[in-house]
Amino acid sequence: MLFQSFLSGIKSLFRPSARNAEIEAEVQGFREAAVEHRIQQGMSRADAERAARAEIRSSEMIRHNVWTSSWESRVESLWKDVRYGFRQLLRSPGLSVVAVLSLALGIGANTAIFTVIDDLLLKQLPVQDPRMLVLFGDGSDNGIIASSSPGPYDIFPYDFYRHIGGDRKEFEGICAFASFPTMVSVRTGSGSAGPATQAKGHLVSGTFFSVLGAQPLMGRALNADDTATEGSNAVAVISYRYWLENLSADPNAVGRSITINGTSFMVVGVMPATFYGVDLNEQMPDMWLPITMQAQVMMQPSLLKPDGLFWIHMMARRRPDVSVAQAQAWTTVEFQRFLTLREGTQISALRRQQIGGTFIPILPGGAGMSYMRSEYQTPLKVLMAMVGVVLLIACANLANLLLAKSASREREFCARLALGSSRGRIARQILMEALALAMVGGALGLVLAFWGTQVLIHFIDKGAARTALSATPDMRVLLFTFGTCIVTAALFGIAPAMRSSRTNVAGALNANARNSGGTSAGSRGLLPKILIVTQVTLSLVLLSVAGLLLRTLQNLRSEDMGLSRSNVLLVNTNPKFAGYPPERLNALYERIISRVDELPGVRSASMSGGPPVSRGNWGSPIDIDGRPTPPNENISTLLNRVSAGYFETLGIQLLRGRTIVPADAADAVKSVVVNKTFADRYFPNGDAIGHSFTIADPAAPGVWHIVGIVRDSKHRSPAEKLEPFAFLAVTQLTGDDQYAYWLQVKSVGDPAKITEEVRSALVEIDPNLPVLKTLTIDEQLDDLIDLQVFVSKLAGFFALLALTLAGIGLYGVMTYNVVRRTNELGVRMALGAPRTGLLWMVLREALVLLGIGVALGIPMSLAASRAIKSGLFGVNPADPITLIAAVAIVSACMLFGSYMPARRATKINPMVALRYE
Amino acid sequence: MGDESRELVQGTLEMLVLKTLALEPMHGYGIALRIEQISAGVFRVNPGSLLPALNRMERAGRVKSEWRVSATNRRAKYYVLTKRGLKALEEERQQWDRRTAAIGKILEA
Repeated sequence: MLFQSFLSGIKSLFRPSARNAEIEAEVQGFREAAVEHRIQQGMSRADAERAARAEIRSSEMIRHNVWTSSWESRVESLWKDVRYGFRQLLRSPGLSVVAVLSLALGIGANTAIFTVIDDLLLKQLPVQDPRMLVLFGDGSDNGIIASSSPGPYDIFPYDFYRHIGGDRKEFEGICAFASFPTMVSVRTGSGSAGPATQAKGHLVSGTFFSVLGAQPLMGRALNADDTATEGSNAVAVISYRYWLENLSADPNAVGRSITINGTSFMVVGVMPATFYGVDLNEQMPDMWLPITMQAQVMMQPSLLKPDGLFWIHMMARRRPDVSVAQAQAWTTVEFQRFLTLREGTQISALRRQQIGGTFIPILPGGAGMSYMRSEYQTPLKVLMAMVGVVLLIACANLANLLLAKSASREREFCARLALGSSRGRIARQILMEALALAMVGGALGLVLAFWGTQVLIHFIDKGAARTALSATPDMRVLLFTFGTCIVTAALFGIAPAMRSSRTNVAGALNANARNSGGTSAGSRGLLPKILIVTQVTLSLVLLSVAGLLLRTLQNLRSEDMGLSRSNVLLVNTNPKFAGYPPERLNALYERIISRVDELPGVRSASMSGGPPVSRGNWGSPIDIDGRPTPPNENISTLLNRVSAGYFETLGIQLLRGRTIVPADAADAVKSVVVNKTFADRYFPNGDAIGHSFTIADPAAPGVWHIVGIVRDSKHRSPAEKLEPFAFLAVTQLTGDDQYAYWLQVKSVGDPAKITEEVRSALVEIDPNLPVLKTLTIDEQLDDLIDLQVFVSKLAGFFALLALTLAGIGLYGVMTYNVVRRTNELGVRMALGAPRTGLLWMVLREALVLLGIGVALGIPMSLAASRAIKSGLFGVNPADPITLIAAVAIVSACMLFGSYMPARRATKINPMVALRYE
Repeated sequence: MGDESRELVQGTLEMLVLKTLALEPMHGYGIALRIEQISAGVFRVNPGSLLPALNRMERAGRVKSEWRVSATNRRAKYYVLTKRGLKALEEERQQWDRRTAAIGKILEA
């Protein structure tokens, strides 16, 4: 029935003429029946008709009554209001354009930031029922880790997965996957021929897809059988994008062979386009490979051994009848039992106690894992707050514009009130106008946001080809924008609506009250003033926050990193891909370095295991000879392996002893250079050179002799705390740790210009030697602070936007005031007031507002700065220079905005002004 | 008789219309006439309130309407009581009875 009412309502909404005709016909029928009945009773036709007319009175009235008795009439009158609202907006196009533009910028900025927040922080994995997925630990650790200490765990040995995997009543299923992606070299041609391309592979357990509930687009996903035995199932499931771009969307891709790092794999399935695995990071994996193929895929010794290292993450699907607490208790017990079993029979009381302190937090896993998420979480929230403030400023602007406009429409409202319109109807009318503005602004804002989000995403993923981030707004984003429009309209529409509905009928219809604003001038002036003060205050807050962030960026950029910031080219290569066994590496390094050294424009070259600056690091505890290690002392040291010439190439200053030299050959005494922090911490007496240490990591066996001390250099972030660092001679390592993946070249001029020469030199040495990446040290250093660049640039942009909007707002209000007072100003001038006096009179008002705004803004800015303290570097949250600069900029902008109208006041011609009615 | 006294007791229009339609389907004027006749001329329903009420009741599904040819060979919109309308009539009638009984008690006390 409700549905029927709805249907007929809709029908009558869209066919008003048919509806009217029907009512008309019914009234007509009624009239005829009435006339006929009276004639039957003996009246003359004329009398009967008169009587019937008297009874029916106005058929128009009946029609109106019938119509208003149904719900659709409300819809229609609302629609009328909206149409009227749009017509009103078109009547003052200039004003409307300014209003729509500032709204579009405000709403667009909010939508853009929200889209990124939605993408990064809110979105669930595109898999079946993601809310039931749980993570073992927060996944903040990744890489390969040897030690185990008490506390929460999020990274595990593969053996632990084997220990608790399989059918369990606590979980519907458990899966494991490598805590890091592996870059692999893939040849898609037949056999091992064809050009090699880089791809991002992710090693996963066979249960990965079934636990996620992800179905393949073609073929099959991996299953438990694929990871039953080590090294025997060379199969791959590829992503949609990879299938499209690298296999040319081959319909027969399933069953095709591809060569991954020299091993032939069979493609068994293609995932749908929406699937990006479990980690939401810059670049999504191209393929998912059985974890049991780890040795082949990573070209490294097996990590699957029972005493294996910690390197996998785990995820599980919860059972509805098992609580998270129960699941966590069970997992923790199993983990402690696993660790105890691993220790063997000889287990010390201390160790037992340590194991007792371990636990596995079971966390919601529906959103997958993402280091970008934790990295961008706080900055995005700060930016969201900033764009919210920008929108508030835009709202204040619009409220002022509408207030001014409704004041000039007072006569219209009066006429309507006098003709019997209700005050509610007029208030609704103004609100509808506000809503119309907000909707147009919002629609335009969505377009701006789409474009803005693309810029933001490009910044976040650094232009990665395949990313799970998307600028396309989803339902949540559209709802957010729609909600923002409504709230915005309410914010800036309510005050004008209330003001208009309170119009005094008698007063405003009076012709003399036309421009003066009547007797209520004082009260009318207060609200715009409050709005202006709010704008000044808010823009001051935004400016000082942005100022602090920009100072932070400046400090980070100029921070002394301890190595040269320019004239170094970094080249990423991989001798493994070219098939070099460890024995042939030292000769290769020598050839590369001597060949590149000879290039024109090159001063020196060197090689290293890891890049000189990077977020990830190799580290291990060490034991210093002759110095008993006190228990519980952190003796973890960061490590890198470097060739001769490394320090010279990077400009890391040698303090004592010598650097790594070609004489540090494989068969010589193992040499290591340490940084100053290392030397000072372990050898406070300054006698580090000549001492030696051993490294706990079995990858770097033997006794390492300290031959030199270099200046401290920073490698993860300009803001980092200095840590002990040891540089091992790469030629003296063995096996997998002898590989050097980075070539550093010191150039005479712009390092980017020698890229091609270096590339061809490498091809000359071995055409199979891939150049995976080239970048200058400057770019690499900028990568370290990209988050700060992102935040401070956006913050600066939003602060400028806020300032512009506030300036326009003040300009508008002041102009309106001057126009409103034209009469008064003319009288004053006619009576002999000096022009400067008038200028001052108008300016004074703006100055008072500015003063109040600044007075309120300073403490608020200090509070806001304290809130973002953790994101600052090298600058005090209460930094007076930043605050003074912000106050100066706001004041200058506001003065400019009010000076123009004030000047206009002094240009008034008294004669014209007095006739101005 | 003045206009005032011929007006319906407030809130009873729907009930009376439903009751009238319970006898047979009727058009608007027929309903008005029937109410006037049965009440012996005490109540008079004017089309300005009758037709909107009928529209409302139709929307609520208590009556449905169809165009028919009347006894005098004219097209008229006839209203027919639905099941839902019959139930509504019963309910309103019980409520009415309760009220009048209560008012009667108060007046007799």
